[in-house]
Amino acid sequence: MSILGGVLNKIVGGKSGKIVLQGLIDLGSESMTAPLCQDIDGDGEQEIICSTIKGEIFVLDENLKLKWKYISAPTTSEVERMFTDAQTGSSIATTPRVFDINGDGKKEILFGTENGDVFALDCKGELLWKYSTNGAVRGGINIFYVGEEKKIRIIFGNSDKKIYIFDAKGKLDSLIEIDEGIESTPIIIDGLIVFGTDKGRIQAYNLAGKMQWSTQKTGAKITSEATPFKFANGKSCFVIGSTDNSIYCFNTEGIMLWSFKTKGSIYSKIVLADVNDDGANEILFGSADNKLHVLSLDGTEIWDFESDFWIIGSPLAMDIDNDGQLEIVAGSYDNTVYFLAGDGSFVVDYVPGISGIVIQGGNYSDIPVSIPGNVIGKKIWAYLAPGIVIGCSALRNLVVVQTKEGKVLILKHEK
Amino acid sequence: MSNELILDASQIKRIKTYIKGLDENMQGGIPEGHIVLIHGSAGTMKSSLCFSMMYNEVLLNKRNCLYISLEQSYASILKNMVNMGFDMSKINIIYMNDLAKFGTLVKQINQNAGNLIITDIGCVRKQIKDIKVSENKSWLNVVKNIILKTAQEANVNFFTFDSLSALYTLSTFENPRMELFYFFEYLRDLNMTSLMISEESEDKANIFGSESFLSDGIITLRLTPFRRNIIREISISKMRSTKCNTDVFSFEFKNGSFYALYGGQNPLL
Repeated sequence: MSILGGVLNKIVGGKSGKIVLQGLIDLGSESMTAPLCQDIDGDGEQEIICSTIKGEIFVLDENLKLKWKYISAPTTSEVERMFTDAQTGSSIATTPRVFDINGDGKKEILFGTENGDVFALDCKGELLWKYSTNGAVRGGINIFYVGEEKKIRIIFGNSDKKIYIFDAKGKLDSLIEIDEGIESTPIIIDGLIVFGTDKGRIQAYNLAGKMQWSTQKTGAKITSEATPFKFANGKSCFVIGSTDNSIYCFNTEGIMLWSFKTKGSIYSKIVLADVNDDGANEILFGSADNKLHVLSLDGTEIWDFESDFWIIGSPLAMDIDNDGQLEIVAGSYDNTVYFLAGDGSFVVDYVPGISGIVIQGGNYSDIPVSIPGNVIGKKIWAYLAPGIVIGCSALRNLVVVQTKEGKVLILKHEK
Repeated sequence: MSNELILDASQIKRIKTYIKGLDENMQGGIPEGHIVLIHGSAGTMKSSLCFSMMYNEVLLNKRNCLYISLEQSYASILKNMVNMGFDMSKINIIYMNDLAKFGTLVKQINQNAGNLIITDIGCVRKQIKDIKVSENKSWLNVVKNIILKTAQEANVNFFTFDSLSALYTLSTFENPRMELFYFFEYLRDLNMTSLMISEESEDKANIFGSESFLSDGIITLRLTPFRRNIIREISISKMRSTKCNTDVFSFEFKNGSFYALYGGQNPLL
């Protein structure tokens, strides 16, 4: 499509239909995590996995019917429980991870709690193992393979200033002592464990537990998980958000390639997707500046979209209306789920032939050689949820929405 | 939280201070659900005043009350009150100093009998000094859990916290104003009438200064030199939803009762 054709399409092109509610269930407890949709039992149907601040795991079928529920009873004594917040002491603060850790062809569910316990459940909700730590497990759990034998290792950070590494049976393999608490989810990239700390450092350790590099302390907590990617030259990099309002792009040698500052804290994992169909991934993330930001891989902002309140959860890039183009789905603390055009929309400075839109001075050519104007976020649809939208997940071409108040919704596009 | 709309001032329920001469000057007492700072320097009878209010509520209104002491021991509090003439045999006192048994004990309390529950955190601290208090385990949570359990299980809706100053030395607050705000909101959600003892520091300023803005009321106690005497004084510096006389009164204890005298006038010595 020519530049002119593309511009006109973005200006006048609209999408039809609407977003409607397909189903809703109330978990009965507040939630802090986005839902997760995965086929954990291998039956070809996806399950929806939700968690609550009471330490409950709910597994629902695609019709929101409860398949099973697990209550993660704390292993701490009554005295120790008196020292934890009664309202959030058992809370699950990060979306559980699912992975086939025991090679049985079905996926297990792993999650940590504020009480410091880590649980591994099988696909039917039976406890496989649990491990108790002295701190809080607020970040997520990651799973990776080590060595030529490709042994499974399970890794997570803890407020007790340690990185824990387990084998698949829940046996502690190694501990890495850190100077600061960890709420972010560690990732493995090029043989390095990379994570952010509660004091705002980004650090990399090798698997033997030796620090390879660290950034300076900013004092602002890093809660998000790093998102790895490779540049065209094959070099590994990652992007990570911080509550100091910035996202940072580093290579695996600890050199910062760029940073991008917003006006609000960034809590969730950054998403990569080619939302404008230009052949390269874009960087998508929400911020407590109320905006969803879309950047190119070099850190240049392409467009943003402003909601009425914080966007905390990770956005989704999916084709909800089956038209072959990606939409971006972002949940906001303003109780709304926004559906945005992946390629944004132009604020037109001047377009030949339709110059009545905006008149500006300058020399014009009838054939534009560059994009005339700025790209902004383009809202296609919005759905008002019954509460604060914590996060969303894609269930094929449906959207599963979790509210803070404990409601789970399935939204669909209807023509 | 009690969110009932009040359409008439007479609908505001109040808890008496049992200070003769003061309740009459504040529409009968402190509105229920208020968080009130009892502020003053050492020796101004802050703890005694709060204990007296709870004692009388238990005795006269069969209310279940909670007194949380962070530093002064249970024995020391009682000795002081007995010496002032309070007859402890007239009320039911429940002493709790074992966190491991707290949940069980609190379930056995008769919700309507009128009990004064005293929790001696100082004693608890000695007993569990071996427990590692990590970043997510705080003494403020202990206090909140005690309040929550007594509110839920024993219908406690009036409590004294002795003292905020001790809490500041016991816990690390990264953002004091915000954490205090959430603590106060927590109490308001429980509709807990709260007396928060706040000690005046040597430089005459609160450590954080946030309490006064976040609270619903402030009763100030002070020691004032007068001729060759030190006299105690009391005044209401702030009381939301209350028409009150803000005069400074002499604060005296005699014949088993507290008195607020000579409002706005020099005391007769």
